[in-house]
Amino acid sequence: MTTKREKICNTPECRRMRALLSDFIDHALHWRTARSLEAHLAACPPCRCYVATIERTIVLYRERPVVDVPLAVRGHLREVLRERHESAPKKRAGRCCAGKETMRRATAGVAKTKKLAGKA
Amino acid sequence: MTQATEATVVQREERKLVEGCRRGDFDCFERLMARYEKKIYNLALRMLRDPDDAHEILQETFLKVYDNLEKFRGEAQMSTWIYRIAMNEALMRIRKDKHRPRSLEIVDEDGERREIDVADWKPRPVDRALTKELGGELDRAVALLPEDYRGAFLLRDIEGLSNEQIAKAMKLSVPAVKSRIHRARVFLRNELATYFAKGRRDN
Repeated sequence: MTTKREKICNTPECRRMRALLSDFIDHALHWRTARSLEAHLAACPPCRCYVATIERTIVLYRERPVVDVPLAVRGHLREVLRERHESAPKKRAGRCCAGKETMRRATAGVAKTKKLAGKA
Repeated sequence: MTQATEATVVQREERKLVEGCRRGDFDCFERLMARYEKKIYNLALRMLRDPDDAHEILQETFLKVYDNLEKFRGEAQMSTWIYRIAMNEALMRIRKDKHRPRSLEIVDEDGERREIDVADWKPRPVDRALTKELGGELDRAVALLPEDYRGAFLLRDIEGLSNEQIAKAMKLSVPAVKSRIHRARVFLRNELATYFAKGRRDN
C-alpha cells in the first residue's frame, strides 16, 4: 500500500509561507509579516501542519541526549595539552606555537588511546 | 539574569581565563576547555558519527585553540571562535575521507512529502525500542545531509548559535547560512515524515 501524497497547497500565500518558514520559526520576521503569516496559518490547515512538523523535527533533534566525553578521552586530552604546555612554557609568554614535534606526539597519542580502547 | 547580561558575564569570565592562559596558567586553559569540550565532542560526533573521529576532532580543536590563543583578540565570541576551529576540522576530515558515504543532494522541498499529522510524530513512550529506533532514524537522516548543511543545522538548532555566528564559524554569508538551515530543516522534516508515515502504515 502506498502512502497518499501530502496535500500541498499552492496558493501564493502558501508559497510565501514556505519561503519565509525558517525566519517565521526563528521569530526573525518583522511583526507585520509575522502577523500576516499567522493569519494565513489560522486559515490553512495543510500549512499549519507543515509548520508544526518542521517545528517538531527541530524539537526531536534537540531532545537527542548529549553524550558525556568518555573519561579516557578527557584524560588523554588533558595529558596531551599539558604536555604541550610543559614543552613550550617560555613560548607561551610571547608567541605560543609548540611546533610539529608536539603535534606528531599528540597524533601518536590518539592512536595509542584508540589501541587501548580496542583492547578494552 | 537576562540573556544579554548572562552573555556579558560569560565573556568577562572567558576574557579572564584567556588572560590567565597567556600568563602561562594551565588551570585557566583547563577551565576553558571544561566549558566547551562536551559541546565540541557532541558536535563532532553528530558531524562524523564516529567516536574515534570525534576524539581526534576534539583534540585537534583544543591544540589549535591553545596554539592560537595569542591571536584571539576577542572581537568574536570565544564560543564562535572555538566552533569555527572545530567545524573546520570536521569539514576537512569529511572532505578528505573519500571512502565516507556520499551525502544526498538536497531535493526540491516538495518532492517527497507525505500526508501525515503532527500528532503521529512521536514514539509511544512505553516503547523504548521504538524511541531507540527513532534516535537511529534521526542520526541516519542528518548524516544524509551535505556536510555544510549538516554543520549549519547543528550549529543553529542544536547548539543555538545565531545566523551571524554560524556565518563566521563556517566562513559563509548570512544568506547562505539561512538557506542551508532552511533546506536542511525541510529535508529532515521530509525524511521523518516518511519514517512516521511508514510506522503508521505498519501498525
